Amino acid sequence: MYQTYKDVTEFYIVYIREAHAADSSWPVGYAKDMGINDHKDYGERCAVAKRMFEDKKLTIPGLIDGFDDKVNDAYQGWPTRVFLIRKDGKLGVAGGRGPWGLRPALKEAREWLAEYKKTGKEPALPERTPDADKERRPDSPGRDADEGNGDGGDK
Amino acid sequence: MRRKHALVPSIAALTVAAACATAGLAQDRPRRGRPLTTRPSAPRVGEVAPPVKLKTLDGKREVDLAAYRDKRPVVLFFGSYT
Repeated sequence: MYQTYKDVTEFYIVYIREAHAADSSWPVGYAKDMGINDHKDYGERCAVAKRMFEDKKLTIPGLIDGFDDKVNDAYQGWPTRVFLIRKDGKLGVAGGRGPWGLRPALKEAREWLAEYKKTGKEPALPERTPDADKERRPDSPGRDADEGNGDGGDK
Repeated sequence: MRRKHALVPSIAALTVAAACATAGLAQDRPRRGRPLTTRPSAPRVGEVAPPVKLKTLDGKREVDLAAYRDKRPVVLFFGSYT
């Protein structure tokens, strides 16, 4: 997606608090092997972020959330989530939380970007109905059930 | 009889402790530090995106997504190593 659409869109990976650190209550095995713990300060966060980008050979530009987790808090990005921000500053795609939310959101973002690149126009926002807020399901803690694989999707 | 009464507060205390422990695990999986979020839900399609002003990976530059307003869309991937 990045290679296909980087000419018309900005992409950033926002590195946030570890999802399954070795010292968390739900660690993944490789976190223990690699000694990846919940960051104790901003310096450690930056070091692990750089290690992730190097190890995974990521070419998408990276941003590092502050140690106050301010951006993660505003977007509820933890453990992983995708957003697309339109030129008017509104969200065009807002993915669900975790790996379960990631794949549908990537598909939605690809479709959005394909139309944008083809037509030069941003897809219209869906019309909000008066009952839209009622219909929308809140993020359920139960959706965390799939967060254990830590694969990060195909970002 | 006296022994049975003595057990009641102990069972109640254990029940409360178990409930607190379960709630704690659900809300704050990373064991140390701060709660993960203070918002009830993530921002939705059509809402104004929360501001993002963060340092780049090399720490040399700060990116403010407001700079892309009216210029280019932005895709954000949130994630971590684990």
